[in-house]
Amino acid sequence: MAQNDTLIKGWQPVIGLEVHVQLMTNTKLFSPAKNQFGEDANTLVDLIDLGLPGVLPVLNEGAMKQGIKFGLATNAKIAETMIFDRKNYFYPDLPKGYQITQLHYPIVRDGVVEVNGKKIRIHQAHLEEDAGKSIHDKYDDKSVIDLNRSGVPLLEIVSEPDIRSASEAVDYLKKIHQIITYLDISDGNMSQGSMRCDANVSIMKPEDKEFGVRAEIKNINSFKFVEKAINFEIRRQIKILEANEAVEQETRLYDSIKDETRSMRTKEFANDYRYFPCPDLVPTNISKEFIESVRKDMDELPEEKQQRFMSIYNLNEYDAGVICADKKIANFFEEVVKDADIQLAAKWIIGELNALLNKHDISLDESKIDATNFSELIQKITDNTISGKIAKEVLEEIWATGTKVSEVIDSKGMQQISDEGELENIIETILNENNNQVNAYRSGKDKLFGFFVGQVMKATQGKANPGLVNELLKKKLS
Amino acid sequence: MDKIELKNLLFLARINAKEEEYPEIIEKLKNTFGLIDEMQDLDLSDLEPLNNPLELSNVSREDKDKDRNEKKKFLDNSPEADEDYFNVPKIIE
Repeated sequence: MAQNDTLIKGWQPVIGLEVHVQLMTNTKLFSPAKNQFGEDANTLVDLIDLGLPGVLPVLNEGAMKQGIKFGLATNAKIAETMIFDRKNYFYPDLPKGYQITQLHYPIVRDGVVEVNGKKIRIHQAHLEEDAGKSIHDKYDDKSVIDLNRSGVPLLEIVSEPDIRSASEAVDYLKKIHQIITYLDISDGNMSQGSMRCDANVSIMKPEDKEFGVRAEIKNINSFKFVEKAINFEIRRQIKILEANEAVEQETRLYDSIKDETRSMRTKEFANDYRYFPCPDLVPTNISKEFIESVRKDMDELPEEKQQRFMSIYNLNEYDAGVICADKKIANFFEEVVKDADIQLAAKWIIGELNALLNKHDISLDESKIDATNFSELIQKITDNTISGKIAKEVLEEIWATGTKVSEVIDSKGMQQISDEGELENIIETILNENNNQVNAYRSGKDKLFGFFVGQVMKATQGKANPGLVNELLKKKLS
Repeated sequence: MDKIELKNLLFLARINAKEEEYPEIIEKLKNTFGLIDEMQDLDLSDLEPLNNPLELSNVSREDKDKDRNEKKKFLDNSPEADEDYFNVPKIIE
């Protein structure tokens, strides 16, 4: 059970994650109202979402398909029969007084994902409806409710307590994010709430047979906060146990501003959700034929894409892995290499482009870079119009402005100097001005070769064709 | 069932009952619990749980939206609303 490299002060953290993923269906889970983010309040609402008397929920086949896709992607069991339950509680953003969810017969059970070579089991993934949104700051004396989100389909993915450190939790979450975005079942946008995460955290001594008492941390809305919240909670529990006190089983809220978790002591007694099978929805059978039709409709998964990139583009495992980590980057790569050199394109995407994306912390589709323009950049390097060094400047420019590569090169006079006569003249001038170094080089100081290359580049503002400079310099200096 | 348990139950079900009604409610609930106890004594180990008395499979619908915005009608029919939102008593967690 213990994993020695993850012990903290001799304690073994044990972590399980519950990830809520908003599915990208056209409509809600049980009503034909649109599922969309950012629309005017209460415009995407149906009678069913309001829970008016006499309405009946009807299951959205699209949501069912997306749940099955996730199950297939994680080698899970897809339920032959799934059953919806009511989870009862009163809150103004839940007009029916209960949430329709799945407790004992979820759509997906017993999945597994691989994170850094380790298998992390998925206990289950179930379909449920989201609640509406309460807004507390419009009036002093009352709250207001927007029901656009009410009934939006969620897939709640519950891991087994297989995770042993905060950083492993982040890697697991990134893996889930990768799978759902590859499957196109969610945009996985944590800041907009379409992927949300609760963490169950406990600690134990490596020799213990049973897990410690766990706390559930809610409200973690970024990859960074997952790590911080869990690490805070581990330290808190260590302090408690080392003072010979007991950890309470409770729900805690993560406060990202103070970087701490605190108890949600609003309830005097434990929640009693009184789950029971939803009488409005009879059990749903899922046929093998239906599952197979969903399988046929599935997009390529990260590992499959990586394998394909290795075989058809001849990329090495590492490069293919980096490019396929993000589906958008992988698709971009395939566009770029339609016209550009494969290995060079891979090198520039993995190196320079990724560096810019990381530095500005945005995703590719939020940037000004498009595949055609990037492809042209690679082509200009391949045909020696510009050197690699100049290409970096061009990339910075198209990153900032989105201007076409050819226009940037023309307007800034960045073309590489590949004219032999012109370069010979420049080299001769430099050699004449640096007699001492020339003599030293000829008498055996080979290292000075770099000095001459540098001088030529300086004289040409980096535009000289490096291959040609090397060749000509060797000839002149011999 | 004691008074505290009953209070909790009434709270969960949002039933507003007066204290003098408690004895009667407890009496009625005892009958129900008696029935449950009888069922608890049955040997059901060979039976699958019955989740629904209807032996049917649920129907589903295509994922197509009905683009009808009935915001005004819904808000007008609610106990309290402004032009955009349903209004409810202040709730702070």
